[in-house]
Amino acid sequence: MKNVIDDRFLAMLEARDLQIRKPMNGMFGGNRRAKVYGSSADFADYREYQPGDDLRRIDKNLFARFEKIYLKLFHDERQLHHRIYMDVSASMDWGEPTKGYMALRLAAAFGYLAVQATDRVSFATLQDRAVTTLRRSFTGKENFYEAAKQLNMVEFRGESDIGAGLMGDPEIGSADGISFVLSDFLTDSDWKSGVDRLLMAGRDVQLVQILARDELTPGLSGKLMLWDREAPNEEDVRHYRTEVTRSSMKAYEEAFLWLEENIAGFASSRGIGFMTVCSDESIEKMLFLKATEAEIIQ
Amino acid sequence: MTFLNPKGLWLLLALPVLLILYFLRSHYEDRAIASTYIWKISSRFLKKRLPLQKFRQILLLILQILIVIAGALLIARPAIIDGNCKDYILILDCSASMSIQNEKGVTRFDRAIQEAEKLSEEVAYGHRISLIIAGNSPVVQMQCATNESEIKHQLGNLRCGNGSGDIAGAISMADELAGKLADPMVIVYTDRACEDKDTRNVHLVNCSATDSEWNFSVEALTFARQNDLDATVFDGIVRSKGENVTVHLGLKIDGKLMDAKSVNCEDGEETTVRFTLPIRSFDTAELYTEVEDGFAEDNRYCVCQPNIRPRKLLLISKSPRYLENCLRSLELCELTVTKKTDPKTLSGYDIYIFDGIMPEEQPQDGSLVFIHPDTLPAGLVYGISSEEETALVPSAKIVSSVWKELTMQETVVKGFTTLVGSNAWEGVLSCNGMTVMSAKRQSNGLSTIVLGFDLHDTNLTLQSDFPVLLKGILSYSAPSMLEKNEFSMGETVSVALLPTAKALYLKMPDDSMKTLSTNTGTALLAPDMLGVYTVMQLTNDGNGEYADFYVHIPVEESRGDVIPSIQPVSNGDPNAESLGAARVEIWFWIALAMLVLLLAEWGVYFYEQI
Repeated sequence: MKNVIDDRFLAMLEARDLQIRKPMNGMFGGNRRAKVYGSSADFADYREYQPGDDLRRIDKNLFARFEKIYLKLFHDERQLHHRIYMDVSASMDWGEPTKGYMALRLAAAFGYLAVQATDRVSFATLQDRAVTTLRRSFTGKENFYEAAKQLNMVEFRGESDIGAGLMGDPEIGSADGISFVLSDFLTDSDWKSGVDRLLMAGRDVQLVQILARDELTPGLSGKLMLWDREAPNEEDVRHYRTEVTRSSMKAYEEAFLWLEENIAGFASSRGIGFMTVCSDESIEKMLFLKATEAEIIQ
Repeated sequence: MTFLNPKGLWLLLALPVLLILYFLRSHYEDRAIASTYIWKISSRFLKKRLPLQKFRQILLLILQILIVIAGALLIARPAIIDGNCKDYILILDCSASMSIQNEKGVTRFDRAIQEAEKLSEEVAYGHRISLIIAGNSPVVQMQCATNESEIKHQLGNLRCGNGSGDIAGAISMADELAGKLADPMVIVYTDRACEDKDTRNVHLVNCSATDSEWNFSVEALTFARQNDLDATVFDGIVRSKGENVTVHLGLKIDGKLMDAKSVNCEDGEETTVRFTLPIRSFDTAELYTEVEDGFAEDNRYCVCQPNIRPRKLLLISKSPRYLENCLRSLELCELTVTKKTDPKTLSGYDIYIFDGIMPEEQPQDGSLVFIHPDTLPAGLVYGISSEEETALVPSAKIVSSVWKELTMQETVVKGFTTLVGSNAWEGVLSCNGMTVMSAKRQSNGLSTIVLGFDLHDTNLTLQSDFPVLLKGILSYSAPSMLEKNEFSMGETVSVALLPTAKALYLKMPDDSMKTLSTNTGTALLAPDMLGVYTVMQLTNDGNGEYADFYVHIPVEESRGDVIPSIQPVSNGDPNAESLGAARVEIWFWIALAMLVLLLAEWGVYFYEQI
């Protein structure tokens, strides 16, 4: 398998950062501004003195001016913990390059941006009905490189129930970072409930749908028996027999649009980010165009 | 509705093949994809889009089935009969000239059959065909036939004759037949113009050859004895029709080639060729050529020497001088003269001449001639008598040809009695319009002749007509077996039988023998072969008489004249116009429907193709 990162790849990401769309709590010692006031050097606001407040925070200038006691508040900078979930089902091992490969590259990109901002990152895979943590809560570039090596070892097989996996994840986190879900979302499993769980935990969620080119524009024709890669048995209802005609292609396009609108509508209603990328697009386009448009990266 | 080419319906066998291909093509190709999720969702949209999508394949199959059916119908050429049956009466000329063939060996008759077979296909549209064969005697071969194969079978079995074709008789026969049908069309397949055709719904089809044909014919052969040269001269008449040719002719005498000559013949011109041979007598002479022309049957002509047995004649007269001298001079009979009328002596002769005598008992074995008898034979009575000198002339009621040479110029009779008889009696000579000489032939071939005047009372015995009259009497009383020795095919040959004839045989040109009836005094023959026949009759006394005769192609048939004003049928179908209105072919509409179906099928197929 190809390495998901290279020097050029990392060089592209040096000037970028993840976009945190809502205030997070995080851990102390990071570079992310928290929603509580802390002891960073960045001035945040004034408030009137309340008995018990730290006297060292009284702004003398304001007292001199207004003869009232006001405290100077400073932003608190925390370290966030981002979790990146990757769908490693068999359907992701499709395309040229494969969707799975691009998912790993995106995961690596997001991970690098995170560690670059001194945040913590966890890599996890979604397979069957469970979440498997590849690398838990690492920070720093040294650890990132180690984690990237593990990404190289990921295999794509079987099925994945995103909803069940997220619902059952014991390390779902709290309002201390972004949860990225990288999948093709070509499943009728209830992944939305999993996303809702993330939201209830206070996570900022980013959905990234990765599709192969022939899923965007299938170049099929004639009478076909379509075998779903994730369905091992011949009798599985997921296998589909059809005659690909002009009308059926029109219907496919309408179905695809419907799917996109459905996911986008869900994301919009939840206030979460969503972008769709094609596996054969360049990583630069994905990150610097689409991800920027989707306010995942800044 | 009917089909002009039913074999086109065999294309319907493609339908099961189509169905087999349809089910074979139902095979779905396996294709692995990442996920069928979107495809499954798409089926909802597909149903909204084309509720009948699943019927598209069946629609294509239906269209293809209809296209195959339309194609089969197009080839089968369906036609709608207009409901009115059309009758056709075909007249086929079977005369000898229809056997004339062109350089490709196709005869006029072959062309006539081909045209008739083409027309016979019209029975498929409900028409009916009647067929009349116009040979020597027209015959209705088929009437209102509707079975095409049967008609063609009949046509295929027809053969051309060697005689003439009675087209006029066939047209009359067609008229009679037409009386039972509704306005039939009469079509005559012939090679010569027909008379009176314009007055009827008669169409001529000219079957003569358009490409080259020529015919050389030997039309006649005559001979004459040259006593001074002690030789016989044979004159042959030949003709070439269609080409100027030089032909080698041979003359056979009694089967042996005696002489040969080359003759230059101009197209359409008659040429005479003469052979002089040092022979006195012969049985048959044949002039022939072996040139390869359009018709070989007329390349020879035979003449047969008449073979006449001298008649035995008994003259019973008290003063027979004039008669006896004249009869002996004719050398036509074995004459016996007697004055007795003893019944025992009145037998064994062919002719009995009673001069002024009526025997008590008339002989029954020969013809009788009574010259001014006292009493008359039964059926004849005396009329008025006259003693005045009156001109003796041939009667206006002469029927037999034996009397036709009589002129009776300056012949008078002094004293006669008229004869009055039934219509069975033929008047031969008359005075003042009244019959004074009558003749009657009986059914057994014997005859009775009565003269109502005495030969001594007339200057007839001194006239040149007297030997002619005696010859006539001999010919009438005891005619030759054959009137002549050459006949055209189709002519009836009349063989006069001797009263004592016991048996009559006919030897055919192929040497086969036929036995003929001797019940009547005359045997009628209708020869159907060309060549030399020999007829032989045996009498009760063991004697026999034979005669040869030759049957040939009628001269007008050899000349092979063609219809000048009508284009021959080598390429055209003269019946096409008349037949066109009898049916309506709907191939155009079927072709149009097939085109629409093809467009629809292409549209349905290619519209959904990616």
